[in-house]
Amino acid sequence: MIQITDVVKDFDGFRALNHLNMHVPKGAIYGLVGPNGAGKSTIIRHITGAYHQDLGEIRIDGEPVYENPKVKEKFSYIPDDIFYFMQANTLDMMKFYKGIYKKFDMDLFHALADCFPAVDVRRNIRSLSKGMQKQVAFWLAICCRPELLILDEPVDGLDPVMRRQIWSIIMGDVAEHGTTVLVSSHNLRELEDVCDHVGIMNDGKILIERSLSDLQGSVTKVQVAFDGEMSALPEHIKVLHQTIAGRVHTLIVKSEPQEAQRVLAAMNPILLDVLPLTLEEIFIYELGGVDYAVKDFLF
Amino acid sequence: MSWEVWIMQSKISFFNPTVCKKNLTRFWPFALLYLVYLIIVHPLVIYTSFNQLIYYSSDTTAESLVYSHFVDMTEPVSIFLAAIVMAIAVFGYLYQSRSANMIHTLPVTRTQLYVTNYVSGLLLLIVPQFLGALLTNLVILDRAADTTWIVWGWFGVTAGETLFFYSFAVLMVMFTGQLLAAGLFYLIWNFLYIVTVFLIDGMGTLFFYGMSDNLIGTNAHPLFPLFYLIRKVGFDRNSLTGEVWSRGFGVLLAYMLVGVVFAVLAWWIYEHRRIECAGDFLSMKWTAPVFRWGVVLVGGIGCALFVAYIISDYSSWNMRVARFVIALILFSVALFFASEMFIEKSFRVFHKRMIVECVSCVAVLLVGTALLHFDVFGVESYVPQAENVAMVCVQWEDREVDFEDPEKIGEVTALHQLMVDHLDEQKKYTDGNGNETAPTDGIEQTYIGYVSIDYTMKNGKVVKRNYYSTTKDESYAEQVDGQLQAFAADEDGFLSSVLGLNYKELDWKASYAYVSLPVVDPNGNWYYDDSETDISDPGQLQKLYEAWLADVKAGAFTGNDLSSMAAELSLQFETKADLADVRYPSGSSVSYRLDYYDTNGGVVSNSTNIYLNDRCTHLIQALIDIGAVKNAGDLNVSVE
Repeated sequence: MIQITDVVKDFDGFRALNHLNMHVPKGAIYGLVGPNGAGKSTIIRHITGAYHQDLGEIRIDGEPVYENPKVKEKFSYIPDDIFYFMQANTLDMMKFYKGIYKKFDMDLFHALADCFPAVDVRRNIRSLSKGMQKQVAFWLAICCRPELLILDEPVDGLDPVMRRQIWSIIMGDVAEHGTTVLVSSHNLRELEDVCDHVGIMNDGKILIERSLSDLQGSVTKVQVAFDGEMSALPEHIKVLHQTIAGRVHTLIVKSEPQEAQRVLAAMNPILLDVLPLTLEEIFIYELGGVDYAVKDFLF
Repeated sequence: MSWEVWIMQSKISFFNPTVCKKNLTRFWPFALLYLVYLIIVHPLVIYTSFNQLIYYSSDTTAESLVYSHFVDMTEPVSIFLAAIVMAIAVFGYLYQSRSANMIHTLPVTRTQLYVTNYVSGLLLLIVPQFLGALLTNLVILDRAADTTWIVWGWFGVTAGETLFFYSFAVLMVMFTGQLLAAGLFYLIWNFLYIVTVFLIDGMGTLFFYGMSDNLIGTNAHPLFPLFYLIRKVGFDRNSLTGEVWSRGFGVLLAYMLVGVVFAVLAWWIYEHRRIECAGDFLSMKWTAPVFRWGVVLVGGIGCALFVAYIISDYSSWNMRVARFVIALILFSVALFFASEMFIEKSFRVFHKRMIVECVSCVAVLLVGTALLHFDVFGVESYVPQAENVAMVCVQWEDREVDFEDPEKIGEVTALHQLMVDHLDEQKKYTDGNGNETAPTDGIEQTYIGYVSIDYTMKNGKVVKRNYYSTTKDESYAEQVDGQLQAFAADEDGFLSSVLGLNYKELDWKASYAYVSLPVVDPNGNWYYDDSETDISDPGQLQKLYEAWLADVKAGAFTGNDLSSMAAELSLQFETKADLADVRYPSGSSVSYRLDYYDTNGGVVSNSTNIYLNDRCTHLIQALIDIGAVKNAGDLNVSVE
């Protein structure tokens, strides 16, 4: 859906995007994670066609996005800092979006009104709370019937109830229409439960980009204990991390869980447990020697 | 089919109806306010004046009131202000990153956004003007139906001027990234010409003897559009015939074309504008050095001139230059970094690259100052070659002579050379404005006074010099005074200064005259009374005209006027000709006295005020003969 190739962007001598490559598959829920200042919002503004890159290429569905209304019709964008016209209420903004987006679904707008009972559609949006304003943004964005939903820190600053409600709306849309979602956050935990693809960004680059199934299939955590000393593992099972507590070894190995279990079982342990890994743990071991600052934001 | 659908069907659309509708629904209060203003200044004022018609003089009609209203209007001022307000309103989303980002992620191209916003802003200005004209039309329909053409003429002029100023304002909005900068640039560029003219005049006065009071821009100039449009475009009325006509159609068309060019340029900038510049002072980073240097050049020189002149201590010319240089350095440095602070939105601008650039900028200014001070280009010592001069106008005290005779021009250039030869003395003993500085050697100075020389060269260029002279050299003072007296006695030079250089070819005759007689009120105060001395009889006017010519020939106006409250004769002339037929040099007072009215194939009129003195024997006798005065005593020309 989104293909970014070798994109560079400088702001007054500061390199905000440094030969960035990124790929968001169609139908994916892609979490873009990185610390503050990593360049997440900058690349999103490029993807949405607001900014123009100095070098490289950004394509959505194979077509360049900058100054291309045909491509821009395909996505809805909800920025962190949402803008509404002065004095405009939800109905005014709806009329505006309806005029701009050919696929704007009026029936859906009316249908979704039940999902946002707290929003007074005749009240100036700027006078609503931040949470309410976000709800209006989601309401309008989904009614545009986008093939791609681009969300920049969508639940930042919202209370837990509101967060759950927002995610529920997004998931509902994805389930119903197969919408591709690109969502940025500086908190990996926030995205862990919803994303099927994750890209980690730092210093204007994507450090690592994987599908969740790939990640979960490639790294395994095992707890194992032997009667005596533990013998060496075969070469194809790479140990990423190892701790020992008494006779219990906790291993993080680069291997599929079944293979790790098969190999270790063959070594006659007195205890063998394959444990689930959190997304954060997977990334911390995958990233290995990368800048410690990146690890910091993951935990 | 609705207009929105029709536009949307176009394969390549430059217009987005939704954005236009959004603008119209959001910004209509601006248009309403503008309409209220227009209603107040046009239909309401006219309606009120109609109701007060009985209080006007008997020859004032409803038609003449409407004509006067539109002849006297200065509409460009309100358009100037409304245009920048509207441009900032419709393109204001570019000034905040969140609004700029949001708008540019929508499936609308920049061209569509620009064209739509531009058109909707223009509509919000022109529609109120149209409604204002319509209401004015309704108000005058009943009482001055013949004047409706001027209302729609006004609308045409106003709409044309709006196109120019609005495009100008949009261009400034595109150049900048914040509201303050847009307003500032709009103001700067509109007034840059006149400010530059004042600076050049100030520099000329400071550095060159003879260049004071030499403003080249006091007349309207196309680069000062606000003033130029007021002066050149609108309606004129002949005060004698009451005829009204429009003027400046070509000028208006030219400004409209420039407006179109500005609009295209603004579109190009929008296409290349970085959206991330929202909130920046300048939208195009490459213009930053131009801005910094421009601020230093105009602001630094302006402030330094202010400092050089503000201290009125009669210090010498050279002392004033020294004061200018010190102020120039201080203000240039301050303004350079202040402008950079605006650009960077930070006080932390004192880094090496900026310091080097600042030093370079100040160095350039100082080199320029040195070139002027040492008159490297020979401006100060320049005296035109007599053979290159077509016409010349010499003015001193309240006198003027105009020449085109090569021999007389030679005398003028010789006088000019004489004054230039005493240049060093002027710089030593005067401050450049005729003010003597304190004598240092105890020798008394002789004040020669003010002499202005305006050459119109054969190649069409104009050379203008003004000299305030004072000297310790008695013979020099006598030489100058003698030459000026000789000029004053020149009948041909004097008549040329009143009726034009080719006055002999023009059949001038007196068309009207009146005498202002000095009268003493019961409290012993003098005042002029011209209530019963109008002269319009052709025979009497001819007699006065001939008497005036005879007095000129006899040299009656060569000496100084002796009585401060002598009678004044106002004599009006006219000749069948076109304005272009009357020849006069640059600076001549003939130029601003001429009037033209196109009746009977074109008539040019002119007038002069004659302060009578006891040498005007022919005029005095003629006034008595035609019965304008009873005796010479009424004229108060005798001196006790």
